[in-house]
Amino acid sequence: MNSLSRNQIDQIAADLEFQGITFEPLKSELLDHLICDVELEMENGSDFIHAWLSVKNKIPHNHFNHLQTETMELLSKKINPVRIFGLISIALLAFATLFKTLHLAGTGQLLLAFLVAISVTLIIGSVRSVKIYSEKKGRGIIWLTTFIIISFILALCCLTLQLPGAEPLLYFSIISIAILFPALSVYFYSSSKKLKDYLLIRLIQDNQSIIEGSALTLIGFGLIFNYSALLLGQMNYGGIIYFIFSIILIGMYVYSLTWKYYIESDSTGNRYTLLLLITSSVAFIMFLMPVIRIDYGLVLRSSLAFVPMIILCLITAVNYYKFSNSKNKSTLTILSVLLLFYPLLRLGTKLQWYSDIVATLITNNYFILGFLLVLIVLLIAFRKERLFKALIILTMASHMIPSL
Amino acid sequence: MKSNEYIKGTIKTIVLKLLSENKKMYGYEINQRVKELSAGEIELTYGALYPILYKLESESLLTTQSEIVDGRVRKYYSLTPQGNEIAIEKIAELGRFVDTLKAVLAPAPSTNFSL
Repeated sequence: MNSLSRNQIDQIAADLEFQGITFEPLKSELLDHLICDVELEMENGSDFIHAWLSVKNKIPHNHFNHLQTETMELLSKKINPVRIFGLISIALLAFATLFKTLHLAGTGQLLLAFLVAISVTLIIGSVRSVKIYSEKKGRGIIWLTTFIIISFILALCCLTLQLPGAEPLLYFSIISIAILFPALSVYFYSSSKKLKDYLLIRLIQDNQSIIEGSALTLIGFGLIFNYSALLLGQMNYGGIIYFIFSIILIGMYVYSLTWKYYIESDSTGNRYTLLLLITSSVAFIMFLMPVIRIDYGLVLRSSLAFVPMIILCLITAVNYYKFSNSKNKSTLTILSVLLLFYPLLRLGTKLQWYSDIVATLITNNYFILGFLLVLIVLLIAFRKERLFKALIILTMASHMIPSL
Repeated sequence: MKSNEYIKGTIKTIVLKLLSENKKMYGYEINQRVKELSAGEIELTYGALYPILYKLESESLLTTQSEIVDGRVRKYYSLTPQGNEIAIEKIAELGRFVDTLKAVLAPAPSTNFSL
């Protein structure tokens, strides 16, 4: 059978994305099906272009879109306890935000209840997925990741209630994440195409839309929560804890997006994949370090906070410039480079590289809100571009407390 | 077969039947097998096949396993023990229905009633 080249596969994948197929499991399955169809046509003597056109012309207009809608509707009809607890968490968070905005008592307790509900959601989700995918590889890692995240949440609960043991728990969870996630990256990189199926990657891929939706919900509430406090000049500890919770989870998700590249490409010996592994892992570890409250000094602390964002912008720009088949690749390369200036400006402001005018602009409420609007517009305009979308989400999360 | 209206209600059973005879199959393979067995008379569209596969998976009747083949992900489906039981039940049910249908569609014997 004629095997298609990487470029030809990417062309079909880009076409599927263009047709609005965003549900990752369905997309990869349709991609495989279409490639098989094209290969069959090529066996009968057609070249790639004619084979692809012939296959494409047999598919009615909007067929894939309807198929995706039908599949999503089918899946959402099933009562899912994870979804129920997820909704309870969101409701608690909404109440906490409302209480905070209206200066009512009980915000701390509601935030605490939200953290507990999120932990329950995670535990149920893990039990469920390990049970459903009982034959899959990587179930131990699901338990380990859940345990570490719950330790992290517990540490935040202890911090909120000012209970003893908060710091050791926080250090344990952050150091564990800083070891586990890069270790997984190295494992996926070295396994390359040999790794057939891995539960953690499978779950992330299957739930990408839910994860992104949850991240945006967290950011939305975080912005209201923290901005209402900031505008009134009453930024408090609860807001900072909430910011740490959101940004770490979002950072973990963004970092996990690189895993797909390692297992789907022949990564061993590929210098770009190796470079991706090194830069993304360094950025991820740097990104986690400010949570550990050591006296780093202003320069190191500020660098740890903003350099990972700059690295991510560069990774995204290189991806779109060199590897992507997206029809928006030039625009996205330029936008990724432009986005790099935001963490750079904030870093420079912290380290007093610029004049007071620039520093005043960066912390100006109109600039903050204007930039947020630009991010929202970019998010909507390029919602189908997974990596760029992740970059925007992380930038939005970092924008949650612009004065930090 | 020009009309798909008869096929719609039977796709689930067709998929279960094929999977009961094969340890694991992927979407394209199921499609091709149906085409082959029906001598090209039945061709499942993407829109007919995949929602059924996802539904069966969400009902825990199918389990899946992904493999990387020629640079892309291939998802294999196989029956769970529960899926196996349902497959036997559904195949028998459809068989009985086809028999009933044959009886209904068979030329009616002439009656002695006349006006």
